[in-house]
Amino acid sequence: MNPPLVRFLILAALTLSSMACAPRQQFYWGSYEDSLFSRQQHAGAEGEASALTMLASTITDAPSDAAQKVGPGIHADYGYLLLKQGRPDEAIAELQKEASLYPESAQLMNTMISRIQERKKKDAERKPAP
Amino acid sequence: MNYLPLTAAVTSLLLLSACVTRPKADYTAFFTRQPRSILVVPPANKTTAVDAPAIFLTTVSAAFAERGYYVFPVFLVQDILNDLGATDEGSIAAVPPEKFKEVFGTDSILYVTITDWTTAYVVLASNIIVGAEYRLVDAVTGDVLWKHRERVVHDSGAAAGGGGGIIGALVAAAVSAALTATTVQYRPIAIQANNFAVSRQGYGLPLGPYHPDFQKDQEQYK
Repeated sequence: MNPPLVRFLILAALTLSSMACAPRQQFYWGSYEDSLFSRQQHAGAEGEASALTMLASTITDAPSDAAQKVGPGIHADYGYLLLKQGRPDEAIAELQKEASLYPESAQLMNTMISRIQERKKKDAERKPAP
Repeated sequence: MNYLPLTAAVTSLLLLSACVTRPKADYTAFFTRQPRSILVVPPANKTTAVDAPAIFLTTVSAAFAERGYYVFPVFLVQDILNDLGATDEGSIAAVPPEKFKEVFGTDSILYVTITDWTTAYVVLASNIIVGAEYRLVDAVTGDVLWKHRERVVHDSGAAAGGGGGIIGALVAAAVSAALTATTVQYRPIAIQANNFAVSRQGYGLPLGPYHPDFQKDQEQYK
């Protein structure tokens, strides 16, 4: 068999196999999994701060049309990190977004939101009246 | 010389090797229960790499969600499980499936056991091997909905000659071997293993409700 034909066949096979595996993305992921990895590599505040930045830009960069939603878990994880940073109101907003985008998460999101609100109430009661 | 018959034979063998000698998987329970959501719990570990489960956990979400499922945020889940006292693989395995339903509202639980997380050194190159066993369990009935084993051997390439004949090659191989066993190189192989696992024709995870082809792929699982 002549070399150009062999080369063509190999190329054709590679093209076909890569086409078969090409992922059709249902969701917009941005740097979600990298943000997880960052937290795995740097436990504590440092990893969480960089993960927070990565998730914030993932959410900002996501396409605004409904064609590709922000991937499941991203708003929830972002909200969770905001909560850890002492930003409960922003956290609640993100958890609500997760629940409305993905009804499968509603039970967990609502549990978390009511816990956060209870804690806010307790904190408010503990503060001396002005 | 005519290589065509040989080439054809090798090619068809390669194509077939992915399909031979596997018993048909049973998807009856899967389609009866058809989950919408998957809770990935921290993996169990059969390897000596202590950081493998934590790294593996950062590679599962997109692969499974892209099949059309809601995948709970893995670290949030891990932290909640820690709060509930399920801190290691033994205590996580001991949690009854319906407890996950109660706490998280999930339809199914994905248990992963890491079976391979090693670098195999051959003389002039090294292979990174990542393997895992997957078990998707129904959160209401406790039935196993899907079981799968995946093992990816990644050839990290023969050491480049760089001059110096065989000695040069050996030195290069030693250097490349010393560089291979890092987290950075295992992680993409783990991602690949997860993508392979869910998309194997006839053995993967059937498409879920968030996928446009949901319920159109059932023929291959019969």
